Amino acid sequence: MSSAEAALWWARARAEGPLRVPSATRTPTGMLRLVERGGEHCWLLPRPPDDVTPAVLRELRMQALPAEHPNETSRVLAAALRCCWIDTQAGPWPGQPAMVREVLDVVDQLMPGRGAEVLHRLGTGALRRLHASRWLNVEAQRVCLGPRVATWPDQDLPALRELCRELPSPRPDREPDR
Amino acid sequence: MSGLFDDLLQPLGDKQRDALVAAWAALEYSSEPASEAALPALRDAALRHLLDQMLRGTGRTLVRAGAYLWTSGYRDDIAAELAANGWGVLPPLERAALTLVLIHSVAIPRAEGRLAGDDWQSPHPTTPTRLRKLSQVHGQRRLSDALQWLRAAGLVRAVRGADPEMAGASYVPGPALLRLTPAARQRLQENLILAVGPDTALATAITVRRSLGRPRSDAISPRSGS
Repeated sequence: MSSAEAALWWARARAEGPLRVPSATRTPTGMLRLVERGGEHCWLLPRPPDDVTPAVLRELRMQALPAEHPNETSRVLAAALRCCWIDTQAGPWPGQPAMVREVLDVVDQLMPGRGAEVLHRLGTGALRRLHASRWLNVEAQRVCLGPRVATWPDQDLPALRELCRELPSPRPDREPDR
Repeated sequence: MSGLFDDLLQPLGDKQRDALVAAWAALEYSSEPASEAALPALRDAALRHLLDQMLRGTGRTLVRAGAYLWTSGYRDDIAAELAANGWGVLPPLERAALTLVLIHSVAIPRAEGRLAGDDWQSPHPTTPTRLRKLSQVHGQRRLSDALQWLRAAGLVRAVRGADPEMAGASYVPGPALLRLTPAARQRLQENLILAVGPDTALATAITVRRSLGRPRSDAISPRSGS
């Protein structure tokens, strides 16, 4: 693949986010390739120099674009990670599918007393944002981890494993807040 | 190692390499332009050249965003290819909402002499009266969703309390517009002229000049937000 083609792939991923392409597509230089279950499609994501993440902005005293409702969105992502990252000795992606109600039940335990309607509203909004940004893949009532979780650097995984251990499990056969 | 940057980074010592990677992250991840004062790789002309080469390999380029300030944006040739393929192009409603903000916050104040510069930044808010009451955009909920999307992309910024007649947020252009290259800024200005005054002499001049061989492009695309 020429450098001009690679530049266009990188720019496209910048404009559209992680790219889902047929598995026969060649991997552009410097991009991460994640093959989906079933093997027909894969995701292409840029690998930044030295795998640097936006966390470095804190050291530089700069800010990334603020997420909408950052606290609630982070809690829902953490709850999804708790439900989908079953084999924590492996990397988080692709993980196992979970149900929306399981994820919301973990959120319910993290923020008790919100009431079913409030929980549903904030959970639905956060799931929509996390799906749009490819942190999660939400289809019908099923939640899977999205390709962006594969970009977490290895050195961050121990802290994420610890976070998952501390989070409550989804309660079996239980609707949130009932 | 990440492949694409190896040739540029490998010959460097640790200090220079760290400086370049930090500056790359600041340019690509930060919502606001980066200052030369904080980043040695932006201050040093040789390192800044290397930084631009790193960006160009990914379809991006350095963009000056003021005195001693830098950001990154799409290379003009790459932006044209993205737009031609429909990759990352704003959906119609988001495009309409952004266009309204650019007209009321920048184009009109600039035409009235209240705004200098060509960086598409403005202190003049586009009020909910302009956006919702007097515009021809229908569907309040959909318009709210579009504005929320534009806000998340850094293309608009909410300003409160600017409209005495109507409740709700007003908007000014967001920091992502600083990522437009000089050519992209000019193209945006020309496309707005073509949109709002297609029968004017200025529009005819733009059309003629473009037909003489300058590259054409659709308005406000691709999503410069990012």
